[in-house]
Amino acid sequence: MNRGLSRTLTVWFSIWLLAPICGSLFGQRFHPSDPMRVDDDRLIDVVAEPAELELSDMFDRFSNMFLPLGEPGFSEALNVNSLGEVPDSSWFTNRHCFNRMKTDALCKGPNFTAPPDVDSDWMVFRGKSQGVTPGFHIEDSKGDRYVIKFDPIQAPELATAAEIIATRIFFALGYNVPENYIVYVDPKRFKIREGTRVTNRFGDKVPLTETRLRRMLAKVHVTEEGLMRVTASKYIPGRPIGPFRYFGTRSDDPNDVIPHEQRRELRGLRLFAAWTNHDDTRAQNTQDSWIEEEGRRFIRHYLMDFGSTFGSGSVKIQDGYLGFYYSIPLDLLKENALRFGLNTPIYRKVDWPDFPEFRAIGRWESENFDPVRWRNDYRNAAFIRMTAQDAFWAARTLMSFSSEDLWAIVRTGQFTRGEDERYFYKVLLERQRKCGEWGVNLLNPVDVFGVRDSSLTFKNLSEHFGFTAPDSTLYEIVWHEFDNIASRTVRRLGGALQTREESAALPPLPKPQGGSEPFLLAEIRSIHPDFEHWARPVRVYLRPNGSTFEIVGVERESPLETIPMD
Amino acid sequence: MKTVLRAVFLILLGLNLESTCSLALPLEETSDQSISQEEDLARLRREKSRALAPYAISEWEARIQRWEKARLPASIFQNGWNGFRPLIGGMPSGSGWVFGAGYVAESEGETLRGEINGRYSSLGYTQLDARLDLPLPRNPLPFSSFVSGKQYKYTQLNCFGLGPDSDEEKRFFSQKGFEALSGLLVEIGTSLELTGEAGFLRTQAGPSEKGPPLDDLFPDLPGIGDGRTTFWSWGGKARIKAYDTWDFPHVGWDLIVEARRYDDRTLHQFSSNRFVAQFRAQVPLIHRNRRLAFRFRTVHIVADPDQEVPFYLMETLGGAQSLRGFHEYRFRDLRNLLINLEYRWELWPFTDLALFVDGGKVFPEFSDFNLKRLQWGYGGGIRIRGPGGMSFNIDLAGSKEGVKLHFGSGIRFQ
Repeated sequence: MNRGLSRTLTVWFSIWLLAPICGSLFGQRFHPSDPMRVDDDRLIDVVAEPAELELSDMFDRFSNMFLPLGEPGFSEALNVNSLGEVPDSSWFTNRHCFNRMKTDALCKGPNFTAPPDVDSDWMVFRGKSQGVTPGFHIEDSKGDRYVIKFDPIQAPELATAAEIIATRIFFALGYNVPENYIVYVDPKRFKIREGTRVTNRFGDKVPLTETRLRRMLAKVHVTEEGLMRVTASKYIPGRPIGPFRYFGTRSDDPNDVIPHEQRRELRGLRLFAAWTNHDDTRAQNTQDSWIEEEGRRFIRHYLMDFGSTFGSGSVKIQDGYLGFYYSIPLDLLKENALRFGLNTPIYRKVDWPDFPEFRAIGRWESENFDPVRWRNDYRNAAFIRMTAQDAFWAARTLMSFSSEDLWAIVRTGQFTRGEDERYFYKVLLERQRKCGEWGVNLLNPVDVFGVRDSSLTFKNLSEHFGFTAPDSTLYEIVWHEFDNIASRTVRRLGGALQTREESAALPPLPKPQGGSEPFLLAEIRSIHPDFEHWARPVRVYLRPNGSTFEIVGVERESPLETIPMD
Repeated sequence: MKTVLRAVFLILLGLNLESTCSLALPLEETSDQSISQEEDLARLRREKSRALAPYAISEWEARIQRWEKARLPASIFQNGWNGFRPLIGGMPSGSGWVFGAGYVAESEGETLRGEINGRYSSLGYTQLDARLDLPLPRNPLPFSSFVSGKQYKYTQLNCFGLGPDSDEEKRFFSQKGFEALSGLLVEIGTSLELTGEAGFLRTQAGPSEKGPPLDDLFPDLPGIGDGRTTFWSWGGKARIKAYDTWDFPHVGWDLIVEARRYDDRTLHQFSSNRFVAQFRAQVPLIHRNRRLAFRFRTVHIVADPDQEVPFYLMETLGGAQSLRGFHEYRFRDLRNLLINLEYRWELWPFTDLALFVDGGKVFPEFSDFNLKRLQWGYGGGIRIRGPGGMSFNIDLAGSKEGVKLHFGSGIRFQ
């Protein structure tokens, strides 16, 4: 992404924010198409096949850790609509937060087709034999292709459960994810397609033979019924063209005009990743795919590989320090070097679940979890730019999961032991609460605006989710007449209303002046003894719509600063 | 530190990252507020579509990627080119810089691995060795076995004489020979390992080209100048272990007892029995980020009636694996006792810093088996643990005989 384009977008966003203050210096504030519910980033037909990008893992890690990636300077996220929401796009689809998914839909997640057929042979056509657990690419009898992943032999159910549960959560949150299935398969179903080669532990490509295959499968746990539990991850639609980076844009994608580090769904992903301990949120675990749908070719962006989530480290139980520190923890080195061990890093104090009893859970806990101090593998360019507004959006989104929703999702992990299921769920719920409480309380928490019976209605999310006592907040509401064409506040309508109700009657409808119908602007301050910063106003813009009004804009006042992540 | 690393990285990259995300579309005009967000984004997309550029990684990233794909140095040192590979190290401590070449091959099911190597050291040592593993170590089976052989000529090994009061001055001898060994290890449950070994050793100690002959200096030293002899050796080892392997580094303890018979089949002068006991423990001090590591080891060699123990079969103290403040092979006698105590603290999960104290002594009679008159050493070091159990250590140790710096692989004692 070049600086010019980013500057253009930043200016656009700044104008939008400053418009009510600067008044008629600028043009119309809201347009008929606002709020933009869908960002049509399929607009330009991507005719030429995009190049497949292959990143260097080492370069990716080190450059993200030590280089200032992304655009210099700073702004709020650029891809939000006038309500501060993320419009649907090839990156993100608003799902559970706005259109509550039924329990069976949550459990089904992205699985719209079917798992591989376990009653016929699976033809292995690619694989790896190095490492502690093998992995295969297979084709089933229907011709569908899947990536097959296994649990670490010392921790059955660990990685497969984590992958499945995380897939459901991230899908419901709104991200594009692959279809992932837990499948129990007879090891005899694995057959070798002629010419298949595998990478051995020396990194050499060698033919996959029956002996090698059986040797690789010997490293996999087998149930008492003689079956192997695997994750079958279906190939994503379209042609994979490599990962996306968390900064910049693809120079060969005309639709990719917003720098990735300025996308709210990628900044907010930090909080979702903290909740689920998805520490491996690196470019390498994403995938772009060149897709053709309804005659239009475009690039869709996926999150992949959820094996390193919750207490799982994909091929082992997760290392304790991950989630608390970057994988190259310079701050930890500095802290420990000269203290002779007299200090104890937080991850060493954690009372992890007992092993081997809870080996299917791994290192998954909530007591020491702090969403602000949580760290992923490296300094993700989008994560380090997360602002209070991004965090508020993410917190509200993740709080859309009820405890019943989460219990249903946890059960899709198919833990054999009830204790595992209950422990996993308890930690997930507690971490959700910590994330939600932190994010929601960062800003004046009024939200979910609507117009009903000639009143503006809203919800105090902090009270709604039980982060503060019910009815403990006093609201001060001031109404203004707003000239949308001139983009300025015309006059104040009456005095300030103070109420503990989560609604306020609309003021008498101002008469149209100069041919255009006036908009209403409500400034809502929340007065709470524990949260002084809630007094910063939320401005709600209402557009006339026949005999009533509709919400067209929401603006939250907050300091423009990032949530530190050094 | 981060700033320095960032600067270094920037310089290394030659500030070449820009090309990884360049758009090559200089759009400077301000967005028009008279159009909607939707229209504005459409305008930006149309403009970008007229100036698309190939999307690729930078030249620097491509270089690093090529290096990554080559899997250097693992591909060179583990598998080499079609099995042929260079070697570094693999001779006894104090051999100088060791280089060599070898060939390694593995069966396709990873059940059998064989290697043959030739090595040469900067001190002029030569060694030809071969080994066969069946199945490979770290296999999921409860047993493993091996057969190995070694032809060697070491030209200037250290000898300081026998006993606790030996002189600090270095003397040298040479040793050449051939040895073959086979072994079978059986794991019983998770806490018991039994090993049986049998082998053959043909060796001869003689004068070194460096310094005066040992038999002039130590005329009573058994085994010097006696010509070549052949031993059959066999023995067994039991190891009881109780390590918590669910966290890293592992903490716990193990106890090893070992007995081995050396039967002199040529000269009939040097038949003996060797007994070893060793206790190791790594104990967390409240939390695992700081640990005390402890080792107690004692070796006793008992000659058959009317027989002697040749000096080259006596276990020595001194050097990187025992008394780190002293030279390799500094103390030598029929019996020894060694105590190592380390305080380790975690720098980060794969690196420890350590402060240590070593104490030990050699002695000829069992009646001296006590903690009196120990030789002491002390120092500090760093232990780096890599993936796959690889590790690297640096120790700086001092004693009344000066300061020694040791580099090595493998954890000193877990």
